[in-house]
Amino acid sequence: MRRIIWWGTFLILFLGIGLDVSRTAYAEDFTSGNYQVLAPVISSGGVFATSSSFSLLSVISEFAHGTTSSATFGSNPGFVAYPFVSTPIITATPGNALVNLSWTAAVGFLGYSVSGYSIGNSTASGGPYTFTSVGAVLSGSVTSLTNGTPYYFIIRAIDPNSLVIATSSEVSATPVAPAPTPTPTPGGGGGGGGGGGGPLPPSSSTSATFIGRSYPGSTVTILKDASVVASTRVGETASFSVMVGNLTGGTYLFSVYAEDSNGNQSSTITIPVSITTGVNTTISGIFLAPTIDVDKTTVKKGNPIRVFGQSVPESTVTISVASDIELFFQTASDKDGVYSYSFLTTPLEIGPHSTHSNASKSGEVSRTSRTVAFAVGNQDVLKTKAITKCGPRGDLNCDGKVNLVDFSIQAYWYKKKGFPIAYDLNNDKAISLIDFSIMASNWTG
Amino acid sequence: MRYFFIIVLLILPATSFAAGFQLEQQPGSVKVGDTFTATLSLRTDFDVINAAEGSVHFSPTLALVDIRLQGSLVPLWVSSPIEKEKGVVSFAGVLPGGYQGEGKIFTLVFKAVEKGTGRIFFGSDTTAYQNDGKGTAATLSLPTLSFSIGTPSGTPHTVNLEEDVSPPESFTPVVSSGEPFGLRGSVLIFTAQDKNSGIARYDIARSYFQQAKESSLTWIVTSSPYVLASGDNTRYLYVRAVDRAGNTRVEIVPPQEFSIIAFILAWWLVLIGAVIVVILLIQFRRR
Repeated sequence: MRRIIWWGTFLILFLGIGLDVSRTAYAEDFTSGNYQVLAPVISSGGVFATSSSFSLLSVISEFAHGTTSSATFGSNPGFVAYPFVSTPIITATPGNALVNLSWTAAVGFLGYSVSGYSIGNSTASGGPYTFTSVGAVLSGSVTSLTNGTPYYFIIRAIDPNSLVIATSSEVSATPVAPAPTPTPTPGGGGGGGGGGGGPLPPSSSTSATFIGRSYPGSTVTILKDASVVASTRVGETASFSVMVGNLTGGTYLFSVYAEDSNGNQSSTITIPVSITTGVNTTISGIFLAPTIDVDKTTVKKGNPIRVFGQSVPESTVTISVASDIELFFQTASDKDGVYSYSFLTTPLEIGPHSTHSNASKSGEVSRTSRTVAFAVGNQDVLKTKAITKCGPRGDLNCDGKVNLVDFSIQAYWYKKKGFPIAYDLNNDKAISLIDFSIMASNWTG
Repeated sequence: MRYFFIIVLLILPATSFAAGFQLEQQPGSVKVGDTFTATLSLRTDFDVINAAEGSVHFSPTLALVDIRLQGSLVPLWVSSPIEKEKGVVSFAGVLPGGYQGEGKIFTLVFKAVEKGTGRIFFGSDTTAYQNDGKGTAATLSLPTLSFSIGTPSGTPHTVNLEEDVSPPESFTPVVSSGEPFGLRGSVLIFTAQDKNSGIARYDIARSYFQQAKESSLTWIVTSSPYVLASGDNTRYLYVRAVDRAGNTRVEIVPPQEFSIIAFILAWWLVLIGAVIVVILLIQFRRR
């Protein structure tokens, strides 16, 4: 009898934990640098709750992220967290009476989830747009368009409650009639540098234009299939527009990153782009994540640590600190894009921690930054830049870059013995794909 | 023990995956003699992935016809997908800077050779790594494709395999120190990419002439790094990447050092012309 009760209890317990049926939801105590929230309560879904097994009698909070409609107050249910959805980057390729669109996935964090997308289409910049729901896909075509007329498109990410939770920036494309087959002419000048192929006029050259926002004084680098194809210095407005020409039709993996004025590199945004011969493809709405660093490698528990970096000017920067309980702080970047935030490490336990950030401005949200590690210990240790002729980890030949040469060196030693110790980036006495992963995370091209 | 399995089964649904591989079979219904594709894709949620390796196993009821890289997310293959042993396709690739989203890794083309059950599944060595600077393995979902292979009826289904007529992508061979490879002297490093069938091999040739005809050169099969031999520094080096369909891309590395022989051979016509002009001038002056 006792065994039956024991196993019965066990089964019920694991049914509750294991199956995706109703589970008990609970909130944990939350501690910030300057206050504590004890016994917080998670707000239930209100009108968005659909369960038939409970009733919600009252709630004083936001029903779901983004549903607060008042302009005169803000609602933070329970405790301070900053849920966000990364803004899709949109790619437009004109065709004959159509425009092919593709976009990067909008990724929801801390409560948001994306269930589908809709395409907004207008003949006027800024709208109004006509929206077409396309479901949970990352590409679509807008057809029956007039050749020669510029069209403007945006992408909206929709949550399961049919709420719009992210909107891309606008991208423009002009459908074009297929160029008549050129009749070969003898001689035929050409002009415009390099490239071979048929004598196409400059307006129909095969190219890609990258439009986005970085930080003032930063250098934005574009990679095509892991090799650098363009870089540009960004001015005060932090906006950039880079055209990569001399392309041939095909699918390429383009990557974009920035290096700030302190030499810190942003996280890399990678976008697969299908290039069509003879037209310019526009990739718009690239919102590079902030750079990030800390002033101490180890901070004495209770002492402050400063998180800083560069972002789009006058943007809202959300800093996340990973610990047993994730901490969130918000600050703003100044007109030069610089942000800095100090917080007391009282609530952090002794041991290793890490922090990352993301930025938002005008309704658009960046991806997350690189992650920077620090430790909470018994004394402060200031972070100093290591003086080395070598570049970041993975720069095996010490030329200041992590690129195909380093990849070739690592590939030569892959699964071999007798390699130089310095190439074993994770110190596991083998050159494995983990070493390539560490190298790839520091890739400069 | 029974209870242990029950408990394990109950825990399983609670596991959440931050990324996963997907296998998509086309068409869905297969009969003996049919050719069909199984596309391997990567899908990430919160994780940013920058490397993946592993193996795809398939049952003896299937025969591998081809491996296609068209539209692949992976620009750098440490080990391009290949059937290393019967029924097992191994791969290892890198996505510099990391990738968040979904996209194709490669496509396998199969022929159903036997009636019964067709199975395509991932080996236990299949892993993807996060772009976190530490090479942390991502929690992966690894689905299995299982389907029945029926008796043949009518014309077998065929996959319209687009012939690979595109050459490998342009690449830049680099002369570098051999030290990182544990080699003496200088080496030539090269890595080419092919968007469709993949790189099959590299060839190298040497010439004093920059405009040498590909067919007139003596090619030898090589691999990166290529150790520069004596005389290589003073000649043009031709590196040829050949894809699995036989398409080629040739890149030329100029001489690293000046050589009087190379100079004479490259400019012999001009030199002879100059000598003739000088002789004529001397003759003219004498008169």
